[in-house]
Amino acid sequence: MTAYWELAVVLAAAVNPAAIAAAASELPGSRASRGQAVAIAWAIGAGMTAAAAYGAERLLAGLELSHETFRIAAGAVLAVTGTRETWRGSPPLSSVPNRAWEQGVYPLGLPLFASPAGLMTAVALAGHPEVGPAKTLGAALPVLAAAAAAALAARERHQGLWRAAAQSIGALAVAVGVAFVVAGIRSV
Amino acid sequence: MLRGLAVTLAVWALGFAVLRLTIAGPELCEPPSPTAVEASISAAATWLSAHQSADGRFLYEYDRDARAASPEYNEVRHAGVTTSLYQLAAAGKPDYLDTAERGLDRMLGRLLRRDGWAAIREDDGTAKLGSTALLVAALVFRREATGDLRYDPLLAELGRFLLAMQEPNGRMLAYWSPALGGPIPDLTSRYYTGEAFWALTLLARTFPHEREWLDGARRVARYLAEERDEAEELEFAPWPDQWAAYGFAELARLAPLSESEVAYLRSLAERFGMLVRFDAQRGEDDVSTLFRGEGARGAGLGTWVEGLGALWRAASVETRLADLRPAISERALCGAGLLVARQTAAEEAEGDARAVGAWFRSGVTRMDDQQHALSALLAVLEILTEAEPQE
Repeated sequence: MTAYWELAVVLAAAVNPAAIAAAASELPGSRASRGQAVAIAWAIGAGMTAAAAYGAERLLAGLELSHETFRIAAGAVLAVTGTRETWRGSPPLSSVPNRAWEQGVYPLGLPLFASPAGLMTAVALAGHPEVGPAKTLGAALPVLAAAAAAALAARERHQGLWRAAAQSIGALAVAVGVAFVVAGIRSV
Repeated sequence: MLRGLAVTLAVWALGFAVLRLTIAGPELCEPPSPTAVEASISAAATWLSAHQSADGRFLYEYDRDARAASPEYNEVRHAGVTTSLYQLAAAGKPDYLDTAERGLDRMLGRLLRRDGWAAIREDDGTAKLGSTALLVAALVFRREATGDLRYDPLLAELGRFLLAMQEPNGRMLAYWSPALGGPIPDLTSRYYTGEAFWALTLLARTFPHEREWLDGARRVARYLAEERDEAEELEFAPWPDQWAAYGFAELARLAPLSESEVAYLRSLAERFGMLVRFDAQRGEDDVSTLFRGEGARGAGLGTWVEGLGALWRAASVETRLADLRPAISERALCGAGLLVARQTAAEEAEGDARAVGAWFRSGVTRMDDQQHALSALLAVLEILTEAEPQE
């Protein structure tokens, strides 16, 4: 999977914009404060994804892992995350703050826009010699932008719809995770 | 916010630890230097040579903790060990040729002849396909190492036995029975088919005007690539068959490979690569052993690296495999690094001469641990030699 649209689909499955929207719809605050929170979260997500993509090679060397083996680990995380999203629709959140900037850091920034599945997928893709960091980031930024748009648009009354969409994307994440594991195992 | 963030980061750290202990453990493999590989090869060959009996038998199995040798023996493994020593001689290192010759004499003393063919006889009068196939390989490498052609007629006899054990679809029967006066029907071996295939390709290379060897090899090649794993119910296909890889490395130089054969070789490379990667994650500490198991025995890791070495050679001539060559090389060097690191050095042997140069697992080494590791390191030496800039 090296074509741009394939990377975008894989990253969309990993980030799950619908799950972010479903979680965002539960957050307290005005429309303006949501905008502020989402902007901060997007910056955190984009920054950490860029760091993951451009630091992938060093990270893998530091961890003493080949990108093939890391892909298996990323696939496992994707599959577990996807299973949870398929079941619940959005991640369980606790201790949600009221201030917008705080919501932008937690829960919107971490663990939603910058999620283990998203970051590990970014490393796995960027570490692949046929993909690389630029292509990975090029596919990730529009996905994060879509997640930001969904988070801004999400309203509590539409939460059921967002959850249903998140569950579908979660199922896709499971499939992508399994594909990652198989591809990692079936690599020289 | 801080509480939520702290919980999130704690969950991430826990997840990372679980991954690190299981599937994302560090792959500890440093490519060895040519000097280290050569030293390791010499130590392995010395182990085989130093503990050889006057009758040509090698030390079969040794328990380091009990300081006891096993009374068992296996003629197929004997043939394999002898082959590896002739491989070494053919690679320009004749120091252990005498050891190989003594091993050969033992096999020549056990020949069974019928209907124009010859095979190695077991104590019960049966003949195993595997030992005869590996005798062919030994004699071909001996011929290349010494230039002595005296065994050419015997090679033809042995080759005819291999063909006598072949079915029309390329399947190789494993045992010849004196009671039946022919092969035992439907009995195959996951090892012997590849060994016979390799032997036939070596005969085809050595005697290019005798078409029967290449024709026989092509039949086994097709069977291996298209039928064997399913027909013989080998789980988790492809069976990681380094003998088949050896055979295809030869065949690729003799004739064009079919699409299914190329696909089979790609899948073999993937399997060997995965096995080496996983084994590289197995450290020697208790935590690593608990979560990822003990490292493979020398024979296991050796066969994977042998397979990668053979596929590297195949990829050198088969353009449809050329893209795999860097990855195969990287993985073979990784496996070789592990082999060199896991070999028992003199200072680790606590004065036990039978431990020096051997690969132990759970305190036990068997002669094929040294055999496969030696052949694997020879293959890697070829890769390293190509990688080294020539002066």
